[in-house]
Amino acid sequence: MTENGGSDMTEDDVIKAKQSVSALMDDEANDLDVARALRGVADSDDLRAFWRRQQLVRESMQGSAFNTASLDVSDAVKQTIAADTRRYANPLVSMAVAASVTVAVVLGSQQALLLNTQPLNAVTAPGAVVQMPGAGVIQASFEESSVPQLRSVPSTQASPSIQSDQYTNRVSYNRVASERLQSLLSVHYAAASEASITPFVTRSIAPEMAPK
Amino acid sequence: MIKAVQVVIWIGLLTGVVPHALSADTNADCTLSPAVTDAVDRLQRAHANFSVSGTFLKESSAERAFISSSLAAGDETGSLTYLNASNSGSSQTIWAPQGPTLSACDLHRVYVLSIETRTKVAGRSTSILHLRPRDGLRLGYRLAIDDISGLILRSESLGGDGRLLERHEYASVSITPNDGAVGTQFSQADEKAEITLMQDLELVGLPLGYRGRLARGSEQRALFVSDGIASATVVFEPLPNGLSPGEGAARRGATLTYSRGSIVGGAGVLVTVIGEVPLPAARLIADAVKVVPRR
Repeated sequence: MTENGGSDMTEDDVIKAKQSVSALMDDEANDLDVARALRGVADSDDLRAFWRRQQLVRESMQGSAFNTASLDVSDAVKQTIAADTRRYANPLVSMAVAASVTVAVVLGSQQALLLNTQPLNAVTAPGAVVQMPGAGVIQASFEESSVPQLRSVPSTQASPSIQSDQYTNRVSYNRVASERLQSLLSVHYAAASEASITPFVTRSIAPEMAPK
Repeated sequence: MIKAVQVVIWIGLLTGVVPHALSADTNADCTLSPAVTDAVDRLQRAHANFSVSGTFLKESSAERAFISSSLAAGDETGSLTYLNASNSGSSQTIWAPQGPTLSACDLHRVYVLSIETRTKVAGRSTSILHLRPRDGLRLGYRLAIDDISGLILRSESLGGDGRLLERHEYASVSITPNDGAVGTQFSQADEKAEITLMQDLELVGLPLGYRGRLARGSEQRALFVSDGIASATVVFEPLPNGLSPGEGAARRGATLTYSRGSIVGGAGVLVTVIGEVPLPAARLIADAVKVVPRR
């Protein structure tokens, strides 16, 4: 096995491929990222391992930690692209591969969630295109995640166990914040009547969130 | 734990330190259209002058519900009922806004205000008031304001990237004027009493435009901060067992909850900011509230 996990990729290629995998995990990948990530996981054991780690971290950050270290979406991706790596040359086929990757990631996540006892997130309502004055057209949609991403600067010195503790603590705090959202909403609404303008038709608390 | 250490909420109400962003001297460059200033003015007087009842739809990623509401002119509270809920909690008390009056020029400092041509909501003519934040420390809003009463008939809350966080819209509404109404009797905050109450508290470095006071109904443990529209309540409690210092957040529709744990004088303290503010603003608000051991 070579230094780069058994592939002919240069160190620079590996770094770029890892960045592309990260972008894919964050739903921020462009077509180039998708192609680069696919090439990387097809050629490098190291990158496939990286993909697995990123997937676990992503699930952990979303508060849906699961005990399925053997779940490996990258294998599905590798199988998807194994038939014909040349298909990347065709943009249309490339889009189809990207869609396949998306399906693989989604299916992988769904498998993970099935193993999780926590309820699934609420369904996203359809969005609409709105025009804000002074701005271009914006694709508006309801916020999907109930957990705003708190980005912290990664420490290259931190050991895996420390990083794991940090993630565990973050998940615990997200859970605390969710509990406080339920228990303190009525307190906030009473206090918020002292704002000059309530920018809603009125404030209301969903029955499942209302104080018992 | 907090009692043992006897911490004091240190709210930095130091005049001159807290930016009084909405003070009158900031209005010198305010050139707004009469339509905008009129809309902001009517919006704040509407609940005192008009009774409203009807059914509205509330939508967010976490919720889609039809809700009936009723609020009589001048009353402090009204009621609402979740029509498609079968469990307890479907009926609730709602509060009418009773904060000190703000002018459109006050808001102009932190929001870009504009008004759009009319549209109809629930069969009534409305004007659309846009409030676009000048920074990333508050949400944006599009409010459909009833042309006659000034009540909000539709509201949309938008995140910094234009994402729609929450929408309310009346499907049917009945609005009746309060005969003999003399206008909103806003209780202009008694500054002297407020400062006396909070004289041993300090709050330093709130985001631009936000001001703080003790939270109504929870004065012993909570603060309320607002720029007149965006608002958040800050609550203090002992850090739950097993939690080391850290932070976390959760969102439901336009409402964000941000919790931060820290150790102060050997005791764990959990500060929670809950309100319709973006995450950076919640962090800054939590930063502004200093919790220090009592001497």
